[in-house]
Amino acid sequence: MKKLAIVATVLLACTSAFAQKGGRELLRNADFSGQLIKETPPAGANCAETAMWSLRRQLTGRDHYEPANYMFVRQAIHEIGFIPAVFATSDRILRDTKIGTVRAIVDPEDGRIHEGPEAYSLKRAAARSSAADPDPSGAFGSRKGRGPAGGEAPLRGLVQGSSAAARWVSQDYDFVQYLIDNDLKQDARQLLFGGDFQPSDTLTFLRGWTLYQLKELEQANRYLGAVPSASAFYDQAFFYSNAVSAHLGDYVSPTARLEAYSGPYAELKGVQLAGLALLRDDPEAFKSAAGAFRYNDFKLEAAEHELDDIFELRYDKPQKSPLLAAAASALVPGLGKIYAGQLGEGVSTFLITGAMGAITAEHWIKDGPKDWKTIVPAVLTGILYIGNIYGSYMSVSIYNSHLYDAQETAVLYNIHIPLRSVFK
Amino acid sequence: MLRKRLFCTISIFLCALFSSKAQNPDSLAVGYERIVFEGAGLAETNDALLAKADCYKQLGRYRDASATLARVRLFALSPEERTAVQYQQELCWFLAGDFKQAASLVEEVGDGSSDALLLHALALAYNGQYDESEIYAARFISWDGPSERLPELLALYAAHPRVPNASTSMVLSFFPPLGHFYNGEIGEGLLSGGLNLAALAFTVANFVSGYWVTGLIGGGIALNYTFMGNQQRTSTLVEKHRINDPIIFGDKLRAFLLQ
Repeated sequence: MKKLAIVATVLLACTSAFAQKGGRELLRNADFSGQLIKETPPAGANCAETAMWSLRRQLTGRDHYEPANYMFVRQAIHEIGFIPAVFATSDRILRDTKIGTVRAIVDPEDGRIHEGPEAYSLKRAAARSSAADPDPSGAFGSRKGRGPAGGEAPLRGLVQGSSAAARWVSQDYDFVQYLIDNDLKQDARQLLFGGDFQPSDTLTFLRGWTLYQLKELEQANRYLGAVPSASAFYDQAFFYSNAVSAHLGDYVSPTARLEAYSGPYAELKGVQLAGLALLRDDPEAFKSAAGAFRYNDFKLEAAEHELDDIFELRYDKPQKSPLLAAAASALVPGLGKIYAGQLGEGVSTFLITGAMGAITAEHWIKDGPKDWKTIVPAVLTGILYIGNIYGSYMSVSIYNSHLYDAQETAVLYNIHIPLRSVFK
Repeated sequence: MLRKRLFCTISIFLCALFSSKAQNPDSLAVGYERIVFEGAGLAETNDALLAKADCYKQLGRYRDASATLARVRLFALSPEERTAVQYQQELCWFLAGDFKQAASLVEEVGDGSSDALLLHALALAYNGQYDESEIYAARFISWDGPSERLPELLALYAAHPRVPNASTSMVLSFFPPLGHFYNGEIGEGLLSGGLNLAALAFTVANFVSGYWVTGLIGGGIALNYTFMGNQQRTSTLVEKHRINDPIIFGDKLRAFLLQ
């Protein structure tokens, strides 16, 4: 035994020595330019926009919004037309202050508020209120990496033929679990996809499970969904597959699969069905699915209450009215935004519009209404005032969009996280 | 039982090693990890981890290599082996771009080889510790005896970037454009100064003309943008220089030392 150990150690050492690339060569070839902070104008910016970008850095230091206002104008004109673009931009200017962005939802990666012209699209607002499936391409809280589940790409390994040297993956089950538990998921992936294993249900499950751990959801879903019902891993794969499908934006096929499910996890089935009903904006289906809630299983109880709360907030409480918001802002600039739940934006709008109004009033009194010194601030005040009304009308849709997205995230969380306890 | 297990482990590993797929460093890394999993002896475990880290190095996964090296049981190694492992760890942290972690290992690795001196000089320079780096760099180029390139090296270090002080920068930013100038941005400073001057002139002109509301509100808003923007920009510049300057200097030093 000792001899074998020595041979193995020597082999290891030799392999290591041969594989070792010279340290100096590595040092010479290292490239750290990716770590430099580079300041470049936004992609596709024209001369005027580049000049504005340069000026903007000196005036505010940073942009709160992505795209920045000077990039937003051109996109808005292209997407929603000239007149709405003017008012949308003026509304954005009113909101684009420290006070106005104090409670905004920022992207953790770049610290900016991602909001494009589609936020002002009336079509989108209408679609949001009537859609059976929330729009996954919206600017508010759209999740990256979403896409249709399924697809035509072949499943690598699922159709892999056996060879004389192939082993059963069950012999390596503990090792795969060890790799996953010790955050060596890439190694697990390499083993399962690079190893010479006999095709089996366990292999399919482990591949799906590893890809799920690596957050490669589309591929994971294909493997998890391919675990047959006779497998010991079926229930786990089935419920995880449903949760992954929902994360990928497919709410219909997991619903159909769950409705056909007759296994031992009836209450969990109810939780996932109820969550999917909320994601499909189907209150009747929710009520039907929530009939399975028992509220006495600690693994599911919190999710059941959370889903009930979301249902109540969405369907049992009156929705805010865009017209009322617009009327309020016509009366007092910014009031409609406060009504829509955007206190900071409302205060910012009130201060800027009020300031412009005061300047106009001073010139009106001192120079008369026909003097250019009155006309210029008056025109600006008018545009800001109408932009404020337009923005308040839209802010209710924006608020509802935010609310829906937040609820969607909470629903996805609640149909997913309990699985960790149930299948521990 | 233990003998049988170890025999199995080694057999599996040898199979893995000589199979065609084992030529792939990814597969080899898994093979080495299997030895660790099977609970081999300390020496075998350490060898497997070192070999695995080497596979990651070949794959350019330096952060994973460092993490693997961190799992090596150093207490089971001789002082020379321990130093070699820590040198590899420092090298991997450096190549992964984590200069702070690399610099933290300088004292542990010591100065027993010219490679170590070179790595220390670079790790410290990229981490902004120029004075400490200079000592190692000078010792590196004098490793084989007095070097004619020493004055050149000293001149390079004499021109090392100054680490901007955030507090000084903030205080100077109250007097635009001094904050910009302090950070070496003359052009931007002139623009910022001009904008602040224009906002101030607008305010004063309105007050002089008797437009009190316009002067107060309009001037206030304009100055808020120009003055506060100047402060914000100054702090951004400090951060930019703090990150970029050591990397730019380090690249120059690396090119010089590896000539």
